[in-house]
Order: sequence, then structure tokens, then C-alpha cells
Amino acid sequence: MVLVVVIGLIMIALTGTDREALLSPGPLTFQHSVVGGCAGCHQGFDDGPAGWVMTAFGKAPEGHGDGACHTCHDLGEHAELPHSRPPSVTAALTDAARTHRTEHDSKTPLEFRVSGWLFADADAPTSAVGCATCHREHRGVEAHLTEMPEGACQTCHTARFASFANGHPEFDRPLFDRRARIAFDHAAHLDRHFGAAESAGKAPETCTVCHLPTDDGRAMLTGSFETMCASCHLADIAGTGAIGPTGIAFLAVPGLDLWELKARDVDIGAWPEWSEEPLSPFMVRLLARDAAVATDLDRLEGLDLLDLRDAAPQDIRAVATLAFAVKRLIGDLLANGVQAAETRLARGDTDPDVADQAVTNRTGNLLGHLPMDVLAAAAKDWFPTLASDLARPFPELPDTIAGPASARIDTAPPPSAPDQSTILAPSSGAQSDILAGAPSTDQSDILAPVPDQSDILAAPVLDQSDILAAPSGDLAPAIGQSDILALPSADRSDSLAPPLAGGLKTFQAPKVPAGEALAPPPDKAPTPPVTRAEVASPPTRIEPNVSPEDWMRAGGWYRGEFALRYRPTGHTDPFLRAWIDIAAAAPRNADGSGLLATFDGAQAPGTCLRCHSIDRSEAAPLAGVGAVNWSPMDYDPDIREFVRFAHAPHFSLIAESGGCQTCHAVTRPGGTDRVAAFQEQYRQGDPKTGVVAGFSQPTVATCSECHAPGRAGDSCTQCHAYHVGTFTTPTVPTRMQVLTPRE
Amino acid sequence: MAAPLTGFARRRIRNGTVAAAAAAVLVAVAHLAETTLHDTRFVTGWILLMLIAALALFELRRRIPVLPLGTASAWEQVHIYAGWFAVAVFLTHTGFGLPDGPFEAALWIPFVAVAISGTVGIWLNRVLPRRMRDHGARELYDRIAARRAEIAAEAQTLAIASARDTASITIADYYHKELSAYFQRPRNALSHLTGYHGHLRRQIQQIRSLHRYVDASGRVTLDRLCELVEAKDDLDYQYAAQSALRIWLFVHVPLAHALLLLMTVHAVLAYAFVVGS
Repeated sequence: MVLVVVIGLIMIALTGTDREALLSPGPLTFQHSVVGGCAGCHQGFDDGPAGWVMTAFGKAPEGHGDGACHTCHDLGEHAELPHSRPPSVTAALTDAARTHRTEHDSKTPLEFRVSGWLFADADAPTSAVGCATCHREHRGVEAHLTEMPEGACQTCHTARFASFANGHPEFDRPLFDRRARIAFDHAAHLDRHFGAAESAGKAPETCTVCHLPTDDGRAMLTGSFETMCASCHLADIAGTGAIGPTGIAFLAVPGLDLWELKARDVDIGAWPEWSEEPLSPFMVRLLARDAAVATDLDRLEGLDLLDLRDAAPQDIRAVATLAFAVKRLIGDLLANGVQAAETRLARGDTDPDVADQAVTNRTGNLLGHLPMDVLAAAAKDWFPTLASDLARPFPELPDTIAGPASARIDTAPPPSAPDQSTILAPSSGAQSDILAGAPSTDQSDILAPVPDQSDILAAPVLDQSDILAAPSGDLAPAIGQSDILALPSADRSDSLAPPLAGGLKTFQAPKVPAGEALAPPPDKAPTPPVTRAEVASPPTRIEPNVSPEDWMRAGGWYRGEFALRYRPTGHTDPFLRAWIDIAAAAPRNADGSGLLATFDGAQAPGTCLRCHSIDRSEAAPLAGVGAVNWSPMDYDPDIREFVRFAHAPHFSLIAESGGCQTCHAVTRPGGTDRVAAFQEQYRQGDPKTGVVAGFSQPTVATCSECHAPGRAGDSCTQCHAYHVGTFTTPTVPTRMQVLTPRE
Repeated sequence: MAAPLTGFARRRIRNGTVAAAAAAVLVAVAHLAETTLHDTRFVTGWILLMLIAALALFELRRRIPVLPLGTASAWEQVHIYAGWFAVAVFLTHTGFGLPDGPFEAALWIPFVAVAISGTVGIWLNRVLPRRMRDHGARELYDRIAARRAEIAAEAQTLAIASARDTASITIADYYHKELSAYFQRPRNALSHLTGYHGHLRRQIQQIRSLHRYVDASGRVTLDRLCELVEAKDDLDYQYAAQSALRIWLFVHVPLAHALLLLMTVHAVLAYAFVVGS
């Protein structure tokens, strides 16, 4: 009778409409209560009792795996493996733990020795671990799915111990597994700089001035440059304390030994005679794309371009090639702008496709958003005949170039340097006066008129825009006055032109009495006598009281004599950052090293690399490729590591003791070795070699003062995560819809 | 000097020690297995299912005594101590917790009921037979009703005779009000099973309190009624004890069979819906 009743009840339970509720072994946690009934996890539930029997006996494909779990919980490719890591990684960690265990000769508690003997699993590090091994459902709405039995984590672990306070491995590994991205020596700042008189009122008084917790209270982030460093180091970026020009020479006319070139019958066309600028590494980078000069750039390394007397014929040929390449570069930039820069900067990165896209995105920053007018004005100043020079075919260099002067018989005396005092002299038969108005057959005069009239500085001109061109053969000021080299006039449109008292004094017109060389043309000369009041009429132009360099104190472009210079705009200057990125990306010993050296050192522009370290990959195919750490540690809440520590809950506990230094004491070993070691760690590319953290790490004893049973607890999962990796927070893929308004 | 242990005591200590040791080992191993992330539920579940099935064989052996499968006493010993071990397995299997779902409750309640009924059965079989020896000659269960009727008839005869012979209705009236119903059916079953005798003392005292109201012959009659009341009480004891010894089996055995059936369904469901362990 009883059996009949029981069988009846069982049949009702198995086949009734309420079978889900009747057969459930217990309520689900509230997180899983919306998975869609039993079939949400048990795919075969809807097959009914017959299907269940088949499944129980292995005759139906009811998945016994974790497929249903992984539909929502994406733990990556190795989800079912220990710690969601590849077996090789787990095996390596196991070997390391075993070695550590052996070195420290720790004893395994009896409980774990017995369990190890009873339940030894040789494949533990690599065998699959089902979700339900740890996360057991149907234990109530408020059940903790992540709650683990005491000591359960030690099932697989090599190092087994009784409790956190009794046997847990000491924190004897460095606090950070890599050097800090920003090279900041805490000890040096605390001991030397913050106490200096010049730091009075600037030095931070507490750790939290620079370090504040993240929103979730876990990580401690480093503050911004503006809040931490600017008060003392902003001048370093601006370069106000640097030796030499503050601005960085970006495009420059390299100074060449024109006389030696001429002596060897090498014609490079018009070239500023007085430039002493070196070839900037930026131009080298831009020229490297030019196949005609790429090979010659190597030859020119170490060659003094301003003294070619001892240069070999091949060197002279390379110099000539460089000269035309520089002209082509400037002409290319003038003609094609950003596109030209993109093409020239696309070279050099490891992956062409990626590099091209990256360079394209950065071209604006790499050019410093250089205005076209600035470049045009500079080109007009440096190479007045640039258009005609580039329009001509590349001049044929002589088949044989004479050797050094010491090795040849001079047939003519070397041309003497022009007397600066005579360059504005009236036209003479020697044609050495660059402002000579009469046409000359000696084309070495860069301002001499040429037949095609394409030279904007050629005389005579009709638009009167060239103030140096004398329409009637004399040096009367022109009306347009648009040329930057012009004397002060009412129309000085080129604001970037250097003041006449500055770098272009070479071309400054000498003061001549009115009515002489600079007298206006007869038809415009004022004939009536002028009064004193009229002579002292208000100026038509505001003369800058500071040099162009100082004028651009806030950062940006200014023009020196023969170089376009850039002053950093401050921290995170996009121009410097873009170029340093390119320089750092080049593997060591590649052509980018020279460019990188430009930014390295205490006197380097911006001094960026004094703080921002460069990490270089050790693994192929990116071996040696560097990446600049522009930011300090970037906390990503989606990244879960083995150890998790929340700083915020501990603040109140350490406030009355040693504060942050309760756990992170600044280390100050004696001598200068520590300082040297701290700096040395940044002299090589591997961020994980020779790490000097500058802090001591917390100890188990410190933590176990509170983390003990009955107090703050000492379970493994309080500080350790099982699933490690990057787990992004799922979002709702809501398709945008336009709702039709109701009438 | 302590008295030497009897054979029964030694056997109980031996069997109890073995069962307790087995239970302790099971709990310890299960604890170690759980702390090392091994799911013991299937192992303990199978052990429990096998145990319950094996225990059920005792009923088969009892019903077929002719089978040469060992003595009933040996079977009983195995049944008792295996039953205790099954309780330990059950507690381990359920994690020493209460059921969370209806079906778990449907498993938990019968098991607990079987375990309790079995424990009661052990106690009844240990205590009641000894007590029955102290309550008169043992009557066959099927003859108790007839013997009770004989006693009731004699008591009725005495009451009627007393009224007729002594012209006093004291005894007849007391019989009519108190003893008539007492002799008609079994009484005080719970008191008998618990060893309580207050009801009998009160009944005897009431009868003896009538001595002051009757003459000598009446006192003889009352003494006889006392003897009949005691005889009836012994019969009631026999009836209660023998009924208990029969009824607990009607609880224990069918529930055990139902439990076996439910456990089988539970095993199928467990294998059908195990996920990711």
C-alpha cells in the first residue's frame, strides 16, 4: 500500500506540471534565478523522465560539462583548466612553487599529507576542473557560490600549510614584477629634493598627494604631472634651464662647405652660405625615405659638412646628393603637405601595415601641426630659387670629383668669404653682392635674376612683393613688403619672421641716409618738405620686444636663421611624444637610435625620457622594439590577477600607525649603490630585469595581525582569485530603434 | 572489581565499536575529500543505496527462514549496526543539513522515519520481551482477546453475585461504573509501553477502599476483583507490547521500501542532471 502511494507520488512529481519545483534540490542563488528554469542549465530536462534515464545511463547527449555555464561566463580558451590558464603556464608555476618550497623546507600539515595520499591526482595541474567543483548551486537564494571549504585551494597546490599565519609563504618576491613605468626615485626625493630650500612649499606632505585609490578602492593610482611634478619640473620641459636654443631644430638648412664644393666643381644650386645648422635627426628620418639619399646618409655620419676640405670624392658626391634631397624634402612638404610626411614617415616600423596606419594617425603630431605659411616663408627665405631648382633635372655631377685640396694642385685660389659689410653694396662687376640688381652670368649668386623668372626674389619683378628686388635697379623699399627679409614696413604679414635685430642680422640692410640706396623710387618720393611732427608719425608696426624664442615661450614654432624650431607646449606635448614614440619604436642599433639620442639626457628637449621609461620587447618578431611608458600603472578593473588587495579598507587601520609605510617602507640602503641601481634599471629595455622598487613589501606577520580566524579572516579567497585573466564586464547589446510616436 | 561482561554486552561493544569506527573513517575521509575539492556525494550516495538495499534483505531473510543464510540473530546484528552506519553515511551525504527542495525532503523524511522506527524497534525488542516476563504468563497475541473476555465474564459474574447474595449494591455499582468498561477492551497501552504502573495502583486502591462498605463476603469478592484487574492489566501489557512489536515493523519496513524506491529515482536524476563537476 505504501509503495503504491509512493510510486503514485513519484509519477506525479516526474510528469506533473510542477515537476521543476518538485524535483528541484533547492533554490538557486538569486543571480541564477533567472536562467530560465531547469532547462537553462540542464539542457536535457525537457526530454522528460525517459530522456533523463537515457542521460543517466549515458545514452543521451546531455552535456555533463560546463557548456551552459560558459554561455554566460566567458572565461577564455582555457576556462576549464586550473586558473583558466594554459597547462604550460600552470606547470611552470607549479615548478616554481616546488622549487620555492624546497628552498624554504616547509612542512606539510598531516591533514594535507593524508589527503594527498588518498586523493593524489598526478594530472592536477593540467586536468580540467568543472565549475561545480567549487560553485555548488541549489543551496539557497543567499548562498555564496564562491565560498570554498577551508583549505580547498591547497588541494592542487604544491605548497600546503596550516593557515595564513602558520606556513603561508612569505612575501619574498618583489612588490612589483616590473620596474615602475615612471622613473621616480622616492628615496632620493624624500631625502634630498623635498627637503631642499627650493622645494619649500612645493614638496608633497603626504603620500595621498600623489597616490589616491581607484573608485573600487583596490589599486592606488599615481596622480597627474600637473598635481605632482609640475611645480618643480615644468621648467625642465619648457627647457628654460637648458643650454643653447630652447627650441628643437626640426627643419634646418644644414650648413655646407660651399667653397669646397665650388672648388671641386660641384654645383648644388642656391644654398644659404651662412648656415651652420647640423642636419637634424628629424630630417634624417624624413630623408631616409628618399632612396636617392638613403645610402648616403650613412656615409655622411661623422663628416663635418662645414669643412669638406679633406672629404673624399665620394663624400662630396654624398653631400651634393644630400643638398638636393633637402631641397626635395622641403619642396615635397610644400607641395604635398601631410601626405608627403606620411609617405616619408611610413618607413621604419616593423609591421608596415600597422606602422602606416599608426604614422598616418600621428602625422599631425609629428609635424607639430606646422602651418604651411611658416614652412613657405622659411623655404622662400632659405631657397629663393627652390621652385626652379626642383624644376630642373637633377644636375649631373662630374664623373670625377677632385680629391681633397691637400691632394690636388690648385689652379685657382679658393674663393674668399664674402665681406658681410659689402653684401648690400651696389652692383659691381664682381657680382658678389647678393642683392645686385643686374643680371649676372654667375649663377652662384642666389639672388641673381634667372631667365625663367620663377625665382620670387629675382629682379626685376612686377608685383613689387620682393622688397629686395629693386624695380629700378636701386634698393628702394618695395610697396608690398611681404618678404620676411624686408625692412620694417606697414605690411609685415609674416609674423614668424625673426626680428631684424635677431638671427637674420646678416641680411639686415645697413642704415643709409634717406635719398641714398634705400630711397623710394622717384615717382613715389615725397617732394614736399616734412615737418618734425610728420617724421615722428605713429609707428605702423609693433616690433616684438623679445626674441622669437621667448615670444614662443608657451610653445610652438618659431624660425631661427636657418632652422624651424619647436618649443614644447608643456607636459604631454604631442610633437615630442609622437617623435619619441617613433624613435623608441626603432630597435636598438637601428636608424632610430640617433633620433632617440636627441631626446635622451638631462639637456634633451622636454627631458621626457628622464622619467618616462622605454620597455623593449624581448620576443620575436618585436625583439628590441620599444614602447614608451607615457603613463604610470594603468589600473584595469577587468584584469584579475592571482593576488587581489583592496587598499581602501585598510586605511583606517594604519592611520594611527605608520600610514602607508606600515606596509610600504621606503628602502634606503647605505651608499650610492641603490641610487645607481635605481637608475641602472632604466638603462636597459627589459622592464623585469634588475627591478629596484624602492619599497619594502608587506610581511605575512603584518597581515596576520588582523587576518586570523575570528578577526578579519584568513581564507585563501580573501586575497587570491582563482579565475585570472581579463574579464570584461558584459554589456547589453541594445539595437538602436526609432520609436514611432503614438498619436 | 567490575562484574564480568556478558556475551551480549561484549557483542554489543564489539559491533558498536566496529560501526562507530567505520562511521568515523567515513566522515574523516569525506571531510578530507571535500576539502580537497572531491565530490563525495556520488560515492556516499552509492554506499547509502547499497546499504539500504542490503538492509532490506533482512526482511527477506526473516520472511523466508528456511534459507540457509545464517542465523536470524546474526542477520539482526548486521542489520542493526549496518543501519547505524547508514545513518552516518546519510549525514555525510547530506552534509549534516536539512533538505532544501521538495524531492530532497521526500528522501530525507522517509530515511529519518526509517531510522527512528528502526531505533524504536531495537528498543522494543530489547526491553519489551523482558518486561513481558514480569507481567504474567505470556499469552499468544491471538488468544489475548479471548482471555480478556474470560476475565471480564468472571468479573461480571462476581459483581452480579455480590448484589444478589449480600443485598448490597456497592460492589455491583462500582463494577458498573468503573470496571465494566475497563474489562471490555485493552487499556493503558502507552503506560504499559513506558513502564508506568500508576493506573493499576489507583484501580487497586479504589477497589480496596470499598472494604469499609461491605461485609466479609463482599471483601472476598473485592479481593477477587483485584486479582482479575491485575490479570487484565497483565493481559493489556502483553497486548500493548506485542502490538508494538508488530506495529513498528509495519512502519519501518514499508518506509524502507519506499525509501529504496525514492533513492533509485534520486540516483537517476542525479546522474541525469549532474553538471560541471
